[in-house]
Amino acid sequence: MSLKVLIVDDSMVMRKIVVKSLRAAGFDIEAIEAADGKEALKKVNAKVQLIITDWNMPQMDGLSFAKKIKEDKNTKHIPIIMLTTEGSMAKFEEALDCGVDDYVTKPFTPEKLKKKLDKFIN
Amino acid sequence: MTDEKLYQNIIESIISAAENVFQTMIFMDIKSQAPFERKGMGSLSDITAIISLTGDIIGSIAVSINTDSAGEAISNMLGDEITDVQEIIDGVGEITNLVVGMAKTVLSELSCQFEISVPIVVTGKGVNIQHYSTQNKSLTTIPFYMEDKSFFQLELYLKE
Ligand SMILES: [Mg+2]
Repeated sequence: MSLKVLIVDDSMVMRKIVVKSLRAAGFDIEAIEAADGKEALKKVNAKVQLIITDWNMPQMDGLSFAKKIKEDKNTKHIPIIMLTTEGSMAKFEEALDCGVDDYVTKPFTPEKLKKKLDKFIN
Repeated sequence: MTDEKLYQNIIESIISAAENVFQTMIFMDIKSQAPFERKGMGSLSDITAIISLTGDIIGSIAVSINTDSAGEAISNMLGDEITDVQEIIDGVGEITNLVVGMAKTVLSELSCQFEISVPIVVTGKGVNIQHYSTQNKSLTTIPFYMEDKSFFQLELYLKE
């Protein structure tokens, strides 16, 4: 059965790259896409198995979105990977404090993304 | 850090970020040429994405690229022939975001902290680009080449 992944990024090109990278890494995925945290909150449900989200987005950024996901008992079990250009240690820690489970910095290669994902997918 | 030194660090981190982003995600080798100063704010190429910077430094960084070069870069990035203009415009914004974001991380390690906005993309050549200040200021332009072809220009404005 394919893996239900919610991909949140304000760039549609970046969302496509993430989908391609996941498929290239051998994951059989069903991708749900959203352009910011607000849209993602409307699309998320308990059946989503993984969230990959950008940080800097209009409307609602990835950090506020992650907090909301982790506050909701229906969605807090979903692992969140932050995929962002924010690469400093301070930002990384801020994200973990908000409930983000792991962190991948952009630019990234499909291999780099796969390594992180393997931890969350069996 | 002296202003001159900081400025040099900013220029260097932007150049290495651009080269790195093109290498890892676009699979293209680009090379920068010597930066120069210019007056005026008209865009140099067809599509321009601008990101503002606020914090220890205040200003903006823009990437200006012609449609053909942008199409080539984004097609390479996606591994698919991309001709849809919306997609090309979106891609230019994201490439700019990747470059500025990476430079930001490098600079934060040099104790220069700032936040970046989401990119705003403007189309048209010679169009006024809203860099931070509005008056007749000078921009630093860094030309980037792919092989011997002019590929895009990156422009930096820093508030004094
Ligand atoms: Mg983004």
